[in-house]
Amino acid sequence: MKNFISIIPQYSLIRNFFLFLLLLVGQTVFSQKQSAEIHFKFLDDQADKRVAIQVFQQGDSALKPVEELDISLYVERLFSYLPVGDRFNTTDENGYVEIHMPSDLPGDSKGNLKLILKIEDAETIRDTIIHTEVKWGIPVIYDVTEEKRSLWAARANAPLSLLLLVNSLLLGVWGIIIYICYEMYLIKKE
Amino acid sequence: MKKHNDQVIDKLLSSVGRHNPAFKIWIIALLVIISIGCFAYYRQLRLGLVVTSMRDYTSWGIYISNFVFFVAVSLIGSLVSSILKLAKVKWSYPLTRISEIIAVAAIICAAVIIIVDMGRPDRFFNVIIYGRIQSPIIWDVLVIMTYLVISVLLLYLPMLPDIALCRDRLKHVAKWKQNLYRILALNWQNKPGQLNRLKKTSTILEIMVIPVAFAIHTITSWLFATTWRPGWDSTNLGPYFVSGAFMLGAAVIIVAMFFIRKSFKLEDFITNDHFDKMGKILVLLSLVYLYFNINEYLGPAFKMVGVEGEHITELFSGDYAAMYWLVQVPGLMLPILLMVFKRGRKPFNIMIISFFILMGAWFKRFLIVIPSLQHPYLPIQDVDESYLHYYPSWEEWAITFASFAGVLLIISLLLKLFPIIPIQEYIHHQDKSEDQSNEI
Repeated sequence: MKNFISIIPQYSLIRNFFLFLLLLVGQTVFSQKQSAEIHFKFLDDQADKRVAIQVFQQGDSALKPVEELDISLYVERLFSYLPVGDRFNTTDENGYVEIHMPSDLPGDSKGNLKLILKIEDAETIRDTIIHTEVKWGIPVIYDVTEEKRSLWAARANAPLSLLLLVNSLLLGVWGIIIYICYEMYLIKKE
Repeated sequence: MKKHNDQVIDKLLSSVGRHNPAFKIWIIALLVIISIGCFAYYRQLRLGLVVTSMRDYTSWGIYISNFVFFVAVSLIGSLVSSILKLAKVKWSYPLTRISEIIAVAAIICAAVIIIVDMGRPDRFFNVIIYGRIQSPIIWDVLVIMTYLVISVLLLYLPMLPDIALCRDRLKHVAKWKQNLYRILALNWQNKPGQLNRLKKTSTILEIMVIPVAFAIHTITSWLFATTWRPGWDSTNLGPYFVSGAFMLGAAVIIVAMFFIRKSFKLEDFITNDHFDKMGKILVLLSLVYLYFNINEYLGPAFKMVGVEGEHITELFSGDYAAMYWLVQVPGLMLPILLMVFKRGRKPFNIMIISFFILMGAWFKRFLIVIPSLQHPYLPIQDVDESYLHYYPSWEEWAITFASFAGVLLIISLLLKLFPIIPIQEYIHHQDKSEDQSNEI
């Protein structure tokens, strides 16, 4: 009596794969979202710092401003992005919006701040991220020499006094131990 | 005179290498306990530290309190074979070898316990290769290794003439033992040059072991004092630990003296007078420890500030109150009172009292480590209920008992391999005292 094993092809997997491909192509070809042209400049009136942003989109013949568009502005910090400006920074009929910047943000050693401009989930414009830099931060100079050798530094930067103390103690004690071992050798040789 | 000396040598060598069924049963019992501990450790290695009750709050459990206990016990070597010897206390020399053997056994097991506490023991050498010299843990590793070597030398070097006696006189023992004595005796022939070198090196070791012994327990206390936790933030911790260690060491040696004297029939060498004098030393050391104890608790208990106050309340009247008062009253105050009287220093009585001190000292280390850890300065939100309490798991108890069995096994084997009482030293002291009496 022979046992037969029937192998049935799993057509559903192949069908789903092609469906996925079709959707992907359809999304790309028929998507209404287009890329935008974003102009921005930094306005600095000493007390008041602003980022002026204007967004355009390709019309039938010329560029036309994008109205009612929410733009987000962030400053890059150590672990995350810090949002600046209002909760919603919406463009006017000229596609223009100004976002106020705080003047007390710590920057790098030269005072540079890394800015991130984002357009997300807009109806007609694709998600866009722009990275730029502006010298509006307070320069922060880390005193590297202070961090160099300390109790909390890495092992390569241990305080010299501690290194000297521990190593001289170890050398002293282990020197005596080695001397005693040598004396034991002399006892054996006697 | 020579005949008398020969009798002494024969008596003291009689215990070495002699077959004894009771001793075999004792060793088997210890090996069974160690095997159970090894199985528990195998489980810990296989499944991880999760088999213990240590969690994010109590990350040092009974392993570390046991480690502190063994480090404290190891200080006895420096007390008897160094401090008393340098102070020319003549009655203490029969106890030097016992104390050194206890010191070596305790410090070996302390080092082993530290490795047991590591989640990844295979990375132990990274501690040495990549260790930061700024960390007290590295200081502790360095000083433990140094103290172990010095303790072994302090046991071995003064024993050379006695090992030579074993080599020359013990012809009935197994071949491997004869070879061992031959190698370890370092060709000792009692030559004047050898005696001079031995005297010189022994004196150096006796002096050197004192600062290293103080360092080992002070640095162990710094592991706590440099960590920001209630109960540990104290400048008193170093001398508090050292004084506690000397008290514990003296109690351990009294318990050891009692059982060794009985088992090896050494009543002629370890006399009632030894118990009486060790009792007086123990009273003094306990009083010093009591003084540091009062210092340690009075300040925070008077102020009751914040989390320090919570910690003190927990010890005085909270979850750990029963253990705390058992440690303080029957583990410290009552023994002092009882030992002040001569009757309290009789061999059996003082052995029982020392046993209470020993138990109190173990639980005292538990109280130093665990309740402090349950008061972190940065509480973790929504912690699991298991973080808030610490009851050691069976694996932790099994490993802890195995470490005790390990100490007893090392002591037992060394006592069986080598003469317990320093023979040459005994004869030298006997001759000297007889000469003095003849002169008078």
